[in-house]
Formats: sequence, C-alpha cells, structure tokens
Amino acid sequence: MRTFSPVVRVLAACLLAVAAISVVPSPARAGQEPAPDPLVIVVNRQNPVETLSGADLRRIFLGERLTWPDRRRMTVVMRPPEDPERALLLRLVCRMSEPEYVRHLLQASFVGDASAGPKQLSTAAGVRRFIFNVPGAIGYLRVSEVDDSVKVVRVDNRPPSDAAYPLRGEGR
Amino acid sequence: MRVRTDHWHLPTRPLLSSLLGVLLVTALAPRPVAGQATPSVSGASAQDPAALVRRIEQLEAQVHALTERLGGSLGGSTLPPVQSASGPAPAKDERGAEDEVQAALHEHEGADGPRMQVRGYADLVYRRGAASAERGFGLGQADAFVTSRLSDRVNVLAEAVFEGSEANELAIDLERILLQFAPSDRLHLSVGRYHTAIGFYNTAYHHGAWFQTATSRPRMFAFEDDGGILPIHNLGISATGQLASGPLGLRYVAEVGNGRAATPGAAPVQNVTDENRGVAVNLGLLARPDWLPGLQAGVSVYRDRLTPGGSRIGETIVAAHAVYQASRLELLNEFLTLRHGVAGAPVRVSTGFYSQAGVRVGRYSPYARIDYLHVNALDPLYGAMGRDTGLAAGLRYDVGSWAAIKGQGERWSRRTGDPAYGFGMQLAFAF
Repeated sequence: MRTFSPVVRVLAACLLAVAAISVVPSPARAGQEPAPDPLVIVVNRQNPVETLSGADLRRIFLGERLTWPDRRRMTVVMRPPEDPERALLLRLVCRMSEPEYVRHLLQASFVGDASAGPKQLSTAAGVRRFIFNVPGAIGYLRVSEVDDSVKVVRVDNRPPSDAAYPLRGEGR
Repeated sequence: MRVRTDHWHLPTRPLLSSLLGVLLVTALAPRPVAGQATPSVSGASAQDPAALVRRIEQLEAQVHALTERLGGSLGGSTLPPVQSASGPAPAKDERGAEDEVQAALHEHEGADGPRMQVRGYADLVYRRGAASAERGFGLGQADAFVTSRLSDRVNVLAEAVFEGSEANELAIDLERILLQFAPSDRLHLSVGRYHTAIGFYNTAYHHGAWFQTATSRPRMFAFEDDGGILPIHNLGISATGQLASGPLGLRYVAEVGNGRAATPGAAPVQNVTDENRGVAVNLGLLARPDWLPGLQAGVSVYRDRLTPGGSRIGETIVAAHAVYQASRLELLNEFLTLRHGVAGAPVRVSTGFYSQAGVRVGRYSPYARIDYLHVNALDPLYGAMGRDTGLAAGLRYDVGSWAAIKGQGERWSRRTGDPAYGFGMQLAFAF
C-alpha cells in the first residue's frame, strides 16, 4: 500500500477540513435567522449626553420631554410606520402599538403637551444625515447602520455591546 | 453524463501541493461582510497605477462639486457622507431619500415661516332617552383643531367647535386660542383661553369624542352650557412644567384667569371682561412615576371669588385623581368637592366622583362607569340640581385607526322620582 509523507497528509487534512466547513450549513443557511443587531439611540455628535435611562427614552419618544439639559430643543426622528425598527422601539421603549402611538401623539398635541411631533425619515442614511445637521435631534438605528456622523448614547448606562443592553429584539 | 472513473488517480506531489496551497489561501482569506459593498474602482485596472490615480482625481473633483452644491442648499452646513448599510441603492431611491432629508431639514429650519397643522374631530350620535330632546340622530361636535409652530419654542394652538343646539341651530364656539412659549421642560407658558386643569378628564378629554372611551363625559365634568357646575374654560395665563423629582415624575400646573361669571343670564366664560376684580387661581400637582408607565395621580385646588348680584361668594374646588392607562387596561377615578361660602352663612359643600374601568381586547373596548354628583341643596348657585347617580356600560369598537363606534346604556337615578334610562350610539372619528 502506498504511503504519503506527513506534509501531504497534513495538507490533505486541511483540505478535508475546508471542504467540510464549506459543506456543513451555517446557522443562517440552515434556516435559523441570525440575531438582529440591537437598536441604538443616536444623537448629534455635539450633544454632551452620554447615557439615557429607559424612562428618559419613553418620555422623549412620547413627546413628554422637549428639551435637553442644555435647553436645546429636542427633535425626535422616527422611521415610517411600516418599519420593523420603529415597531421594535415602540414595543421596547414606549410599550405601545403603532395605533396607540399615533393616538397618543394626537392626544398630546390636542392637550398642548407636544407641538410638532417626530420627524419621519424612511432611510438610515436619512436619519444619520438629519441628526448630523440638527444639534438637538435624536433617533434610532441598528448597530450596523451607525457611522461616525452620529453619536451613540448608552441606555441605562449600558453600551450596545453589553449582554444586558435593553434594546434587542425583532421588529415584528 | 457518465463519469470516467478510470481517470481518478492521485496527482503528482508538486501539483497536489500547489492546489492545496491555493485552496487554503482562498479559504482563509478575509471575506467581505454580508451587505458590505466590496471595494472596487470602476473603470481602472488594479494593475495600472496611473489609471487609478486618474480615477481618484476624477472622483475628488466630483466630491468637491457635490459638496459645494449641497453646502449652498443647506446654508453652509457640512454634510456627512451618506453611506448605505445595505449596499448601493438604486439612483431613484437615493434621490428620493435625499429629497426627503432636504425637506425635513427645510421644515425644521422653518424657512417657509409658520406652518399650520389642521386636524378635525367629529362625532354623530343616536340617542334613545327619556326626554324628547334626547331622541333621534344628532350632530355631536365638529372640532377644527389647529396648531402652528412660530419658532423653536413658540406655538399657537386654536380650536373651534361647530355644534348644534336643542333648537337645531348650528353655532361656532372658539373653544381655545393659546399662544404657547416653552423655554424648557420646567416651564411651558400659555396665554389665552384654555381648559381649566381641574382634575384629569377636563384636560385629557375635552372636545373630540374620538379620544375618550365612553360616549359621554362624567356628570361632574359637564360643559358649562350643558348645566355643568365647574369652570371648564378660562381665560388667562397657564404655566405647567416638570419638577426635579427623579422617578416620581412630578409636574405642576399654575393658572390665573378671569374665572367664571355668576350673574344670572350671563355667559359663564368671561371672554372679554371680568365681572369682578378678583382673579381665579388654580394650582395643581401631579405625578407620573417611572416605575409604572401609564399611572398618573394628582390634586388641584381652584379658588375664585364670585359676585352674583352684588353678593360675594367664595368658591373653592378641590379635585383629586388617580388614573391608569395602558394598552389593555384603563382605570379612571376622580373625586372633587365644590365649596361655596357666603359671608355670615355656613359653607355649602357639594361632592362628585366617577370611576370608569375598561379593557381592550383587539379592537373592542368594553367599559363601565359609576357616576355620582351631589350638589348641596343650599348651594347659592346650583342648589336646585340635587343628586344624580348614574351607572353606564358600553362597548367601543375601533374601526381602523381613525374612527370608532360606541354604544352605551345608562341608568340615572335622582333623589326623587323614577330612574331614567337611556341608550346612545356614537360614531366618532378623526380626520
């Protein structure tokens, strides 16, 4: 029986391993959706705020808090109603469904608590660009959508990389 | 196709080593992350440095030209590079997104001056009550609600209501007109005609029946021109704001206004002149604690001096409320006392409360309410009203997001006489 040198055997083993890695399905290929990025809260880079509590976020996105500690006017940026990230934010932060949120905003405006309501932008690039240009703006993105033009604030003093970071989940 | 197995044999050693090396390098080389655009320079060969330099110069010139154009349209602001997180989008989508951002920035800067937002709220009713005036179809209220942002911190709020009377005549009432100034969350100032912040219901649900779960208001919050006992509207200055209270979420309300007229026959809301020199003062404190979103509890104290026919009546209204509103549950509870004191006579105290509970199951919201109002028989202004106790139960069905159909049955009992029954349907909508 023919024998091979150790070098050839090692290379053959590597080849088999590579082939096995290519053939064995990854979790995504096997039909398991990878866990989505956490949602991050983003503000203008000039904003000195580093962290916001869950209660702060709820008040901000419900229009009950209108100014930053430096008295700069807040401008909330939301994605459109059909967007899964918007549904996730409403569920985790506001604890509301889309119809409840719309009704809440209308009622807040009706009683004179909130004046303008959130700005609505349909793309992540649009959100980043608006927040870059408006010092008091605040919005949300997926981690993978963040770049250097905006600043990520911690939530309950936890960065998005923290396992206990609260804004994780599917949008729908 | 048949595979020729007779040609399957091990390659020679140098060929095998080369093949394995190529495969390993290919397998172990870093891959681009899914969704990330692979860096490439179109139009230039990676093997030609001169072509690459030319291409870079072309791109720099294009970036420079675009920066100048965008900088001019945004008043010199610097724009970040717009990066697509999910690969290059079609040019049409990019243009649409860019237009959207530009429009949002334009609107935010208020470049076009004040921009009005108009909303409408209306309701139609069908009633079957004991009195003839409470039968048949009826126009509820058609509410034109307008807000306008004058600057970053100044807004205007106006509300006009079209309403039918029992004589089947339509009338328009300017219900609210407010100039609002909000320098911070600690202070929101409003000047004009406002809804008096007595209790919860009067400010949370006023005109616009679509907002409220039930078809009708609690008896103690009836409008002035519907025989109500409270100064629902007022003209003056109102200040609200948050207090530094941490998780308690305390807010204050302070209002100074004309108060209501007490002269018989006079319009209750003193829109132009005050019949006496005194002002009405209302102070309130309420909490919205962080630990239970949807909970609100508060108290308010309203004080005025009334002068019907030259006599002097001191009026004090103390109201307390505890409400909880969440996705599936609504609990509203309010209590008040109305005290009228005439010099040389005992103070007459009237009381009222209501308790309403509702649950939300999908589009359906069944609810029930207990209503109680007892006006002191010796009250100098409202003594003839007596005591009303009401039980109501109903169902609200939300037709989509902007309309609701409600049905409500009621039983009212007075101190004397038989109880009265009624049933009403209401179609309430926003537009």
